[in-house]
Amino acid sequence: MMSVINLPKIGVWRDLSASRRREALIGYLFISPWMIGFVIFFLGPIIASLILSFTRWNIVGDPIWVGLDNYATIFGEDLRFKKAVEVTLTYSIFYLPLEVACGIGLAVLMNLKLRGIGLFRTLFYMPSVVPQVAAALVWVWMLNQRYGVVNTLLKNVGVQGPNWLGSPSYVLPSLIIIALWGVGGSAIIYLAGLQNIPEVLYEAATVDGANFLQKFFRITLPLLSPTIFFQLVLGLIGVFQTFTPAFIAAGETGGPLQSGLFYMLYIYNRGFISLRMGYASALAWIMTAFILVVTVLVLRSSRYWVYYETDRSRNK
Amino acid sequence: MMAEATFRQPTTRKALLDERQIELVQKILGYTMLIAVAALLILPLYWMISTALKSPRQMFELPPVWVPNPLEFNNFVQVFQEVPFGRFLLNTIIIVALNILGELFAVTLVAYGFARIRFPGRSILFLLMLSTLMIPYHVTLVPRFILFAKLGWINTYLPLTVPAFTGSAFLIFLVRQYMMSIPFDLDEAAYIDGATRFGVFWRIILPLSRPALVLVVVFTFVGTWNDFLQPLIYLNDPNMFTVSLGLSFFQGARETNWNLLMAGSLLATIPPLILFFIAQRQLIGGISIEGLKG
Amino acid sequence: MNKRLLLALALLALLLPTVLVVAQDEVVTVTWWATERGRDTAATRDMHFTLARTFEESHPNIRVALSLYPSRGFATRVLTAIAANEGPDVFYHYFAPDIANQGFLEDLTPYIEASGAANNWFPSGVNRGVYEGRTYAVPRDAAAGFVAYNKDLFDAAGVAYPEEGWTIADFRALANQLTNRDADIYGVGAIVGGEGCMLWSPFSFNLGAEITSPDGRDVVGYMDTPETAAAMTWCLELVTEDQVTAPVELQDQFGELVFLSGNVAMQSISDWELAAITEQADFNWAVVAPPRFDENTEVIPWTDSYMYYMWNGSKHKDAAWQLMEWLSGPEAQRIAAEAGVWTPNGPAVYQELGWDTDPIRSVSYNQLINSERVPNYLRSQYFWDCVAGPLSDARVRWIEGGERDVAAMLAEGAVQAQACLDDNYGN
Repeated sequence: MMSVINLPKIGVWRDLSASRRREALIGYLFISPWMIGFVIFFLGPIIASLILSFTRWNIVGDPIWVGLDNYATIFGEDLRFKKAVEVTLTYSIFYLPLEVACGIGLAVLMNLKLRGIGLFRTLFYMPSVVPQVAAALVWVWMLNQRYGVVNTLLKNVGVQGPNWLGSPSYVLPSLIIIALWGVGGSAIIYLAGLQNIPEVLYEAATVDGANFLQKFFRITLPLLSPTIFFQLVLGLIGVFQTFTPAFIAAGETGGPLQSGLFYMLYIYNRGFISLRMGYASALAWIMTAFILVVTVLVLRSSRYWVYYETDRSRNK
Repeated sequence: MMAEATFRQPTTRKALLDERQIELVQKILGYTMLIAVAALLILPLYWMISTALKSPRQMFELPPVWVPNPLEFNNFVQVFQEVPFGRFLLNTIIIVALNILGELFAVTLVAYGFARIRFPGRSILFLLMLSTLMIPYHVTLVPRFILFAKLGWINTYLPLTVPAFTGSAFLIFLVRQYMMSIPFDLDEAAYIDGATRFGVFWRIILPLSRPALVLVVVFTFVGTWNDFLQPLIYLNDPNMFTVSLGLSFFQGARETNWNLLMAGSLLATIPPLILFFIAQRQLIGGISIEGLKG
Repeated sequence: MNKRLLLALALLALLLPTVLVVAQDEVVTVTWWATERGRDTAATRDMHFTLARTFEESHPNIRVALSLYPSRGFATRVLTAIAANEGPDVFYHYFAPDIANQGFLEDLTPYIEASGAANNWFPSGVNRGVYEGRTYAVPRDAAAGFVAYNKDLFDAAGVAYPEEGWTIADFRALANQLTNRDADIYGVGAIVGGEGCMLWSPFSFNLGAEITSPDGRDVVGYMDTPETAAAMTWCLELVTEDQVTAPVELQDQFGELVFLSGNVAMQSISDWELAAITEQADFNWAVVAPPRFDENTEVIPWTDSYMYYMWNGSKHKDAAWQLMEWLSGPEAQRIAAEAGVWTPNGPAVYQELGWDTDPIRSVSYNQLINSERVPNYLRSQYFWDCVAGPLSDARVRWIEGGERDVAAMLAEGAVQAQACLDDNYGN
């Protein structure tokens, strides 16, 4: 991840010459917008969030210090927290591999050297540009049990379609379908990865008599693994931030039996509907800690399955 | 992938077919799959358009009507009458424009600072900036909300626009990578001619970074246009709603008028789609830069 | 012109308006925030402005700055404005009375005692604003629950119209009698099938069910009683066993008020739905008081009101009270009632309009003068956060999951809801 950063080493302030100091000051001036933003909109709020997580506060009046009460409740009797974790993790387990598979599949199709492929690339990518609210809305309508086009098509092949967003066991599958519609967004990234794979490797394999599947599993996948890895990390963070599709399609409170209660939706519920700012902050911190731990684990594990080609220049 | 192989030496079983036949079969197979997948992915967009043009009666006809007859273009007029959809569009455009302005201002300056000026702590600060990408942005949602509430910024556009003027870490990273690839000789020559840091930034680096700046514009446009959570918590007055928020408000109010909802959704989709067509080349090229991060 | 002169002129220009305002007879501006629901008609929206302008005419020293907000997120809107010290002077909403313990509402008891206004309101409207003996809100309107029925469907089936004094057994029998699924005709509308039966309608009271204690702090001992389980079973059986409720696809087309489809014989509604039915129904209809439990019991009415509140940080409390007093007083009540927007909050305006003898309006009038009970969902500010979910879970598990042990599901839900309430109340 951090392999790109390769900055020259610079000494400390007092070792600098006058012109270097001047340059440094100009440098700080240039990056000052970000530094100000970092302090006001990131560092400050993050620290505030940690402190708030030990309080009970509805914004009006003064926060009340409650120590670890919020955390105790969350890990104790809060069933909705458990539900939110369950929903988010179940969704990740099914969605992330599907996203990788469909993304690569789509990228392979987009990489075909056929006339008019540009048009198909555009068509495949287009759904990911549709605003999330509009995308969720059209799917809610398409997944309508009686009047929806999905169940109509299923009926044509003799399948009785379920009550997608009305039945607890079909809410998550519905949301996965909605998310997969926009998979063109990640397919483009896989496509870039595919195009970085040197053609000679395939040619050599062909000469050795390798078939399509062998080439795919022996060459394409290993060489694509850094991209897959990167997408998985981003995808996981993305799943924990999923809000809009669940809000629109499953509803503000998470749908039937809270089967669409994504973690972020629950934070929104406690923070902005119940106005439990401290509680919501504690929930947010737990999420952050979890994501950091998982990211580190994935990073650690990457050396066992991610193929890094060290001798090839990574800069285009 | 399937067509990349050119069989110069037909060996084994494949020798049974001649090269051109194989190519033809592969072509047919390829196009069949491409068309099938494209049809699947375009269906929701088609359904959006088709529903948007249906009369209430046709909407609930069984089996569903694929091509509405007559075409109810009046639905689009009705959307603007039932909710202030024109206002929603205008509001969103204002917010998007301010965000683009803010990001362009901050991202170029900061990226230039990180890419081409030397100062103590540069690598640590840059790492710090990258690490903020790993922290879910939503952790700061509650305290930011409280901050803006205390400032009296709720129900104004300030919480939705001011942060853009400090630059997004991801876009800074993107542009900084691009600026790093511009030869340093250019700056040196300019300094010898007596140019200032800002002069070099303004006259040399900025013009050369245009492709990256197009990406900043596109990403900011799409991100801001799609944003739902922030308008949801910061805006209350329907006259100030963005398109996304207005659509969800409309969903609550007219839960059964799917033709109008789809007409609204289509209107919300068109601007990012247009932008996508305009900037397609840069976008797809730029995303491969993003892919490089791995 | 030199710089100093310019500066002086600029200062003067800045100060002039202030001077002028002070010189005038002090006019204060009172901010009034109202909520609107998506289904509200244009007439409802306009009514707010009519009321504000009419008030200004009779109160030349007070100007009303009116804002209308969607009801979703309105509570958050109010609280964030208060947190920024920019709260509205007057606002109406749907808070449970114990919201007063959050400490941002003005105690209106002295104002009300001085004016004697409370004597004019229906008892439930008075109760809606009381927390620990103090009054924090005044009623905007009053609404009662009753049953609307489609006369044409009754005539077609050759069935006699329901009459006041009917029982819930009569209701169920009629629903079954009138349902003809082949003809797409259903006995009752959706609201009876869902939690609506338990929350929004007089049915739960008349079936002997309670969900929370009167102070809203307890659900264990209320939600998990055999009576509540029996009531919920009764409601759900209408959907799955009798199959007399309007199906989902009808709701897809007509929304919650499926009665408007003309395919539904009876629907439990309230005064808040009357405007839409009056405006849109293209069939003959009438309303009747809700059914009682059996021949030996009286009907227990279900009533509710939107309430006006005052922020205790308001800088113009007297002017704000004048607006509130006027809005909840006879003149404003009459204007809103005559426009068909809201139902009057007290008997005097009802009688003045002759509504106490009107075949439709008298049904809610008779409920309102007899109603003391506060609906379950209004007993605790945390009801929607804690109780509504577990209650609706039981319904989903019955309908979607086929589970039938309502007592067990409610017992489980009650424990969950109680833990959430205890946490919110800081026990």
